[in-house]
Amino acid sequence: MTCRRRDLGAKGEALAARYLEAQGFRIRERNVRFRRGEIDIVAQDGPILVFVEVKTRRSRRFGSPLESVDPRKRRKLWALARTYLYSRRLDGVDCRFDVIGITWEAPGKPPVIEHVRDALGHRA
Amino acid sequence: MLAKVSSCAVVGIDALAVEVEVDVASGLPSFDIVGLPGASVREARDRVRSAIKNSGFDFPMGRVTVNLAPAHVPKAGTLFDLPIAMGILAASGQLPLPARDSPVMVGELSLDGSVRAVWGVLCIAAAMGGSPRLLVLPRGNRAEVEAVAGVRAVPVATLREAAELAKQGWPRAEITAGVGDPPAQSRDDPWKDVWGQETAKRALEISIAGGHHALLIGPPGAGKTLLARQAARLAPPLSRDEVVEVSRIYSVAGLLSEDEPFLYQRPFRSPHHTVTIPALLGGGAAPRPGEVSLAHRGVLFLDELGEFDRAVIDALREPLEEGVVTVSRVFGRCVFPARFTLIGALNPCPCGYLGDPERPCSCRPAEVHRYRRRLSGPILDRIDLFIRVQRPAAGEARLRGGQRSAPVRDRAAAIARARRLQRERFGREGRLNGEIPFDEIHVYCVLDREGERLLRRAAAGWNLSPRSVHRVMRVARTIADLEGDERIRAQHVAEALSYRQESQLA
Repeated sequence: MTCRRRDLGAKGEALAARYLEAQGFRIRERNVRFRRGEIDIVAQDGPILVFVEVKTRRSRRFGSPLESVDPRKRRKLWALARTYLYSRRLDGVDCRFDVIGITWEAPGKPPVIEHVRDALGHRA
Repeated sequence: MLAKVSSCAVVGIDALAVEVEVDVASGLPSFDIVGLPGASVREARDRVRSAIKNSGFDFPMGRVTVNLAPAHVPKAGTLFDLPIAMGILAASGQLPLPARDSPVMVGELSLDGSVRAVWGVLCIAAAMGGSPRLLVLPRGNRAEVEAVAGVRAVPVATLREAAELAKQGWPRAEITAGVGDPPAQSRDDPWKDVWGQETAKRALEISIAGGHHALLIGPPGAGKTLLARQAARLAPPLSRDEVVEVSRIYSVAGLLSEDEPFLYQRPFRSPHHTVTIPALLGGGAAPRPGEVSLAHRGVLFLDELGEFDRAVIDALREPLEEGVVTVSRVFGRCVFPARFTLIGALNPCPCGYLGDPERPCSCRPAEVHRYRRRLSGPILDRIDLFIRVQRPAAGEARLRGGQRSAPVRDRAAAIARARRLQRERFGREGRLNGEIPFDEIHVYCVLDREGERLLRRAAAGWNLSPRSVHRVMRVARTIADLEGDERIRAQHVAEALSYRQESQLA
């Protein structure tokens, strides 16, 4: 991964965190790493624990950033969330998965933020 | 929270009570259905989820688990959508928890929350007649339930409507009255368009009157198909009990509609000769009735009998013998009723003209032999009436059109009387002379001295098996019934003998 791309991702996640706080979410943790991957943001929306996946892109040429969450990613996020709940000794809390898509075409231009609540639905 | 909603599964043509248990707990969001759901039941997840949201309710957060009890019976169909949705709404506190004697619910959900009609509702209704419990069902199935007396039916059109009723308390349902008298059938003459063919007509009348299996043998264009089709219409209409019995089979087959919620007409089924065994006997992962069951209490007409696969014809032996057909599949073993009158049609040889007075037959003897051999002996052995049909002589049809010997009104009346005599003889179960078991033959088929002697002579001369002798006696019974005669006389036996294979396929 090039420096520029990691940079963009980090900037996007920071932007998403600020956006969520403005929406009244409380940020619990960021960049929670496990062996099989990373949860971008864990936030609290009232009583509900929210796992947030942030996707930042330079252009929409390859589709909306939200479209990159496919079934494989879904399964992975679900597994990561379960690991998180175990590791933090959280049990019996209501959870939700949100996806935030950011399109940031140039550093000078204002980024476009799309927030989808409960983006993954229920695991079948 | 845990909620339980009562529902029903359809197994074969019977209903099985199913308890839909829904548990909503906190945790990572998941939605599981257990209790051996088939593909159509598993897909309920997506329909239920959308229907709940689009009806203005919330789909609960967290872990949703649905169990369909008894969990060891495989389930198929879409009728659990509504009870699952209602259970989820109750378990998530959006509706009061159902009481113990809460309604039995069935229905498929559309994504927009409307309730769609499902198949097999008539079987569920038949199991619930006289029960004090309510049956909540799709509005589209309302008319079907009307066939069964004493069902407390609550038709609903949307999930929203069902939820409102559950919130306000279920209404006092209207109780169904049961099937009424069938609409007056047009009693036009079934033989109106069939010229001549008096022997064939007579034999088919015997077949219909007593439920005897018949085989029409004749050249192409002789009118075999027309004769069979019209003969089926000679039978008296289905009784009220039979309407429910036959309609249940059609309900499971998904052949009933809102406009035609049950069947008054006696069935006439004519599967093509390419029919497969599952289509004929019934099949599918969740067994559905086949043609033999769809012809229950009616006529199964097999045109070009010689063209059917031998295996297919041989598969008919169980239903012909037992009056039922047993289908064993993944989703269990089902017994479907299959009491039909078999009418077959056959050319005498591959070219069709063997024995024709005018056109020569162009088949070699070996070909004729091979053609005949396709019909297995065991099937021919179950045919009571062999009927030779001749092509009407050229011009005769047009010149002598409409001429007939006995007024059809009398013939239809004779058939009705013969059926009535059989009802008095065998009770309401609806058995026909063709179905008299061999150990009761001597109770019901009493021959006079003259008839006895004739039958004995024929049996010796033709070398008839005991089974064949019984067939002749059953047919003679029906011929006597057509004349209103309690005793079977020599002339009845003589006519019955004239329809034997030996006198026709010589």
